Amino acid sequence: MNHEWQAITLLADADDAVLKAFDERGWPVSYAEGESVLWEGDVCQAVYFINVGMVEVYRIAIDGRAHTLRVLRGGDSFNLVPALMKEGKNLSNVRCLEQTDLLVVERHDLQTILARYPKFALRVLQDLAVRLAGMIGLAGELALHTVRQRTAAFLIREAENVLIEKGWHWTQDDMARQIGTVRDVIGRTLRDFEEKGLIRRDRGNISLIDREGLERTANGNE
Amino acid sequence: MAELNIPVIDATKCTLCGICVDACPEEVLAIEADALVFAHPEQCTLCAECETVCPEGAVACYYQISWADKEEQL
Repeated sequence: MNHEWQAITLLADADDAVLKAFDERGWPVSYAEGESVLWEGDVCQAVYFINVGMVEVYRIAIDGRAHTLRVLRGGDSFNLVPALMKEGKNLSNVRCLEQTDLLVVERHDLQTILARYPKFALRVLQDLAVRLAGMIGLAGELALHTVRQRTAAFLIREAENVLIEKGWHWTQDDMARQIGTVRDVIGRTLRDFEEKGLIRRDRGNISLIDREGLERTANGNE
Repeated sequence: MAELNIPVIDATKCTLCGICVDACPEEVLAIEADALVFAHPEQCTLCAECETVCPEGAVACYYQISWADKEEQL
């Protein structure tokens, strides 16, 4: 095996034949922090698997505001949906949040592998179902929850992430992109959370103090 | 990724409008010789007011988000 395919979540349980098929067709590519991998609207050429690193999947709204759809880490994959569409175009932009090593497989090769290995195709379908559920959740969050609710939910989610892996450092702009709002609204919301004793800001750290209070805020039960 | 105790200024975006200088509660920032500088970096509390008010997105304050120590949590 030339590349580390088993580290990819989608391929973790794959048969040797599937791994071999990917290994024969895929190739590695590295990107620096801040570099773009994909642009929305371009013709989809390939599907990408993250070996090491972190990327942001985002879209640009009509008013020019960027909105983060997902932050993906080692083991995750992206551009799977347009790679499965007939003459698909990239549905979102992807940029690297840190130095990132990817494995790339052309869309036609992916489709060939899926046609040849139905068990793996079912695994991909299950992954797509999870993504669809996530997108429905995101759409619901944006449509039904206030910025305060989304900010509280985001803080809890990110603090839980830090428990299981190295922490990402967020600017207010990053948070705004993630939550679907603008920087000064995030600034005001964090200041209000601090005044209410939900969080403490202290030189490069946002510490969550009141779990119940934050959860009540996230659920709209303040 | 930055891991700094003062804001990061992107000089290519900064227009020297001075809004952040006025907004800073600790008077950390100043415009000197056509550049935005940290006149008193030791006084910076990383409150992120400068990032909040910058109309160009030229200022970034980096935060890690985590649970407070058990003793501090309510």
